[in-house]
Amino acid sequence: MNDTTGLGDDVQLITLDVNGSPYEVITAPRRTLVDVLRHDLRLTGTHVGCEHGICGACTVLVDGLPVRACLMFAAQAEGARITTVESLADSRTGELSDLQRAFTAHHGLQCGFCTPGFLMLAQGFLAERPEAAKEEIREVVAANLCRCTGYQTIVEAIDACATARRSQRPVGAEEDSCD
Amino acid sequence: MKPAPFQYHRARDVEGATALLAELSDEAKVIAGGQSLVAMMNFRLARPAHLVDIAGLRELDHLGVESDGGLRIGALTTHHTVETAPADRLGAGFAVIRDAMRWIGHLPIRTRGTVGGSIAHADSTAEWCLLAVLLDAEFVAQSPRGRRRLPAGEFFFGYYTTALEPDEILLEIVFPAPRRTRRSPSSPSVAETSPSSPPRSIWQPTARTSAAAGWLWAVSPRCRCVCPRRRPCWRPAARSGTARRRLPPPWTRRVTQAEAATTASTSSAL
Ligand SMILES: Cc1cc2nc3c(=O)[nH]c(=O)nc-3n(C[C@H](O)[C@H](O)[C@H](O)COP(=O)(O)OP(=O)(O)OC[C@H]3O[C@@H](n4cnc5c(N)ncnc54)[C@H](O)[C@@H]3O)c2cc1C
Ligand code: FES
Ligand code: FES
Repeated sequence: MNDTTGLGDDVQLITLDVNGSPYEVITAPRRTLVDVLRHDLRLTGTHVGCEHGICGACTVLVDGLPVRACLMFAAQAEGARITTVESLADSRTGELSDLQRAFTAHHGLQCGFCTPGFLMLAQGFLAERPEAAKEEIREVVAANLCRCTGYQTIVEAIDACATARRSQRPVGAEEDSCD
Repeated sequence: MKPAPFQYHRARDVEGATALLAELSDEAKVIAGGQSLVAMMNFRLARPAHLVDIAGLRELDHLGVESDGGLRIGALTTHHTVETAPADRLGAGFAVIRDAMRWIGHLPIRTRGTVGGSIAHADSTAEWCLLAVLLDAEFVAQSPRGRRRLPAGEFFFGYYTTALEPDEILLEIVFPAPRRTRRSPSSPSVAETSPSSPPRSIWQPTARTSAAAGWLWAVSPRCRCVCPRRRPCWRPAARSGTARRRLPPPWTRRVTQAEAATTASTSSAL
């Protein structure tokens, strides 16, 4: 692979597991995970806002847990399972996941800039806490910033998705039923 | 912004990491969860030439109660692991530690940020630093010269400034079994009161105990401390973000109860 960084400093070869596919990237160590996802792998679904952990636009899952992709160097993600917003919809049919459909139904987005981050935050959180009450969802959603919606509709979308998932299977089941 | 270029080293064991840190001296920084360091590097407040990534040292990711009732937490244990730890792993009387976790940033910060990183970073508003000082914790650190134990009360010199040497790695934090504290013998310790109290209650004893102890970090923006090379240290400290210089005693001053109460109620952590 070519050096896609254009950064001109020392580069290294790293292998990443993104959405179940292996990638080899030659990149500079100073490249953050979000920059490698967007610039090297062209997975531009993950957004980048503040680059210091405040806005949450860059939230992805690393080994199933939500993390800030701007506060992690790509080299640190070697050996981990990375999941981005591109994994949610069915890759063959394009059909949206239940969480994405809940965001649409509850008007959980307006401009949509923050949405990939909120989706991955909710995806990781609900996988760990499928029985989460609305108050817990409200607290977790405070991790990310949205300039448009006022958050209420985002909380409602996540709560509706959690409630629907619970009605389909016993509470506490490990399996994630998003797609 | 984007971080300045650096060389990345992945540590395989503690000995190798400390040897590398000793060799690279001031040029290198340890990276654990990166939740403070990467933000500072993105802003170029920190520009280390080398990063030694210790995140793969799984032997530093542990949490458990000792036979004497004390609690040992490995430096690489994340805030999230502590937050979700089952009661038998955390031990009786330490629920205050679990309850404090939800106040550290947000979930995606807690999934990567580590106990050791918080302590070594030494933000004076950090939950771990307060817990360590209030509950009389000790830190175990290793360098090529060997291991040593440092009491929390003697570890923090000021904002972002600790007794850790540049080639030292924090291995674990040890909390003694809960007991009445020396500082406030008339009132129960935070650990004793917490298990049945709601999480928010920790702030009252915290603020009161700090004020009662009359001890708080107090910093002048341009300190007059001296680094090992006898240079004023505020410049390298500002450049490298987390300073690890020894400071002379006047830098830490005792504060009045009123000052302590004001600071405790207005401080917020990043
Ligand atoms: C948006 C946001 C909000 C936050 N809010 C809070 C909050 O409310 N309360 C709070 O307490 N913290 C908060 N933090 C900081 C967070 O707790 C960090 O996890 C913590 O300060 C650093 O841990 P880390 O593992 O990420 O360390 P890193 O960022 O990797 O390292 C921090 C420093 O510690 C050194 N270091 C790390 N590990 C070791 C070790 N084992 N031995 C020696 N040196 C070491 C590094 O060299 C570096 O200087 C916040 C961070 C962000 C981005
Ligand atoms: S871009 Fe990562 S939190 Fe804002
Ligand atoms: S929908 Fe516009 S920022 Fe959230």
